[in-house]
Amino acid sequence: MTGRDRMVVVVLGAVAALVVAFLLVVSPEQKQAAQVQAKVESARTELSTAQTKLSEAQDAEKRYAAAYASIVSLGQAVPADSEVASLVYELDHASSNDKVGFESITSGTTGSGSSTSATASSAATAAAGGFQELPFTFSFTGTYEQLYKLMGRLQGFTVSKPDGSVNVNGRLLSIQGVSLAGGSTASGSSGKLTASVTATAYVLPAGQTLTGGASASAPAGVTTAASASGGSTATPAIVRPLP
Amino acid sequence: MRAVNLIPVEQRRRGGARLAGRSGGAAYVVIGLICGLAVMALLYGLADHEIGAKQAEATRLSAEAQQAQSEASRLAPYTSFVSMREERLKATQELANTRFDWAHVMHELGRVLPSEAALTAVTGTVGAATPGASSTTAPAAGASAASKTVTSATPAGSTPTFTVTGCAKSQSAVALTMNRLRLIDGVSEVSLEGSSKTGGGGGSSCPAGYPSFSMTVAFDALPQPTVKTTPVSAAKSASDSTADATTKSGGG
Repeated sequence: MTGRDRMVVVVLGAVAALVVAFLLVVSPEQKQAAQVQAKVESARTELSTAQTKLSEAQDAEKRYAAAYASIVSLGQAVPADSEVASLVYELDHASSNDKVGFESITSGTTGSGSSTSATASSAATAAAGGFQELPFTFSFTGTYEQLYKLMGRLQGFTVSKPDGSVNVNGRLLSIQGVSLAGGSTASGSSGKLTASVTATAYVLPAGQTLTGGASASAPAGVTTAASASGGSTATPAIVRPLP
Repeated sequence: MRAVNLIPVEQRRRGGARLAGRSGGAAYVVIGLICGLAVMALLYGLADHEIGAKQAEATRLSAEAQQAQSEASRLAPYTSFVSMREERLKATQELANTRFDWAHVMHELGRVLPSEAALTAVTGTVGAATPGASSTTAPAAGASAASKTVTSATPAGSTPTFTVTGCAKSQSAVALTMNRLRLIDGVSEVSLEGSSKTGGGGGSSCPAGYPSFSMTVAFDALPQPTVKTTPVSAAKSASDSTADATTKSGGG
């Protein structure tokens, strides 16, 4: 072996040693660095998602008071239970405003219209997934003009406005049918008509309460400072109309 | 001519060894090896430093994410409550928007009726007469699949129909009545069921010689509800209304 050959062997050996050192020491470290970088990206994504959720939750917290007031108000339109008494009051009030005689209210759509003792809880019709329906038949007497104005008043209890809000003045009613006929002997001579109105009111699905257990200060499941210190949470002041 | 190297042989060897040195080039190999090792040590150090820094960053980010998630979980009931409000508002809007405007149509009916005709009975129906036959409104575009559907008593797509019966001075007045009824907003068809002159006696509600008619007035199908919900912060909340029922309450 000449000196040149020895030199070549030495050089090759040195290069091989460097390659081996790179593969055994540096390369694994770089791979680990890449893995850690991926972990950082994952954590960054996780943080971003969590921050988005937090931002939404904080936004919801800020809007809670308005949402609570809104949902209580919507409870006037669609209450948690039948609330027939308040419906009768609203109908009587509306018909009095239009000088219309409120003759009868019957639970269901096939009644004779002679009873005012509707127990609509039994008439609640299960509606798949949504609100439950409460069918009623109302009977009014009045002039044609008075009666059509009353129809507008009844459907005007709850009105959806173009800006996306809902104006709630009373129960949400969908009128399905109106039948006008000449009045009875007592009122027929004065040009009064008898209107039989088939309408549907709505209640929340079974098992749902108006506010879902929320109070005016916080929803159910949130520990407030007051409750944490043993204080009582405020009960929502849901006003129910009485005659 | 042949070239002759005049440098002595010893000096020639010495000159050639000057490049490689006495070690015969091994020194260069050692230097190269050291340089290579130094580069590798540098790479190793950089990678090691990067690992340390990134691990610290990952730990910090994870901790921040956990804290944010914890805070978001604590506030989750607020999100649920606002979602519940949005769903109820949307459902109420859908129901309110699929109703037939009875007051307007009855007002129009009274407005277009000619003076030569009078109505004795009016019967109007929308969609299913019984609640069991009502259908479900389609969810609005963009609504989440999880949102509940709302069943309306007057579902979109149902056709309002009026049946009017009355008396007219003549058959021409009956024809005029048909033409006038077509002027009502949203009327799609007016069909005459019958018109016959009566003798005026017995159970007839029309004067003698006046035709008694019966017509069916069909309206356009109720449109799909256009629901536009706005956040409570931006929209006027439902509580903005002047709640008659609330203000006239007696308590309890």
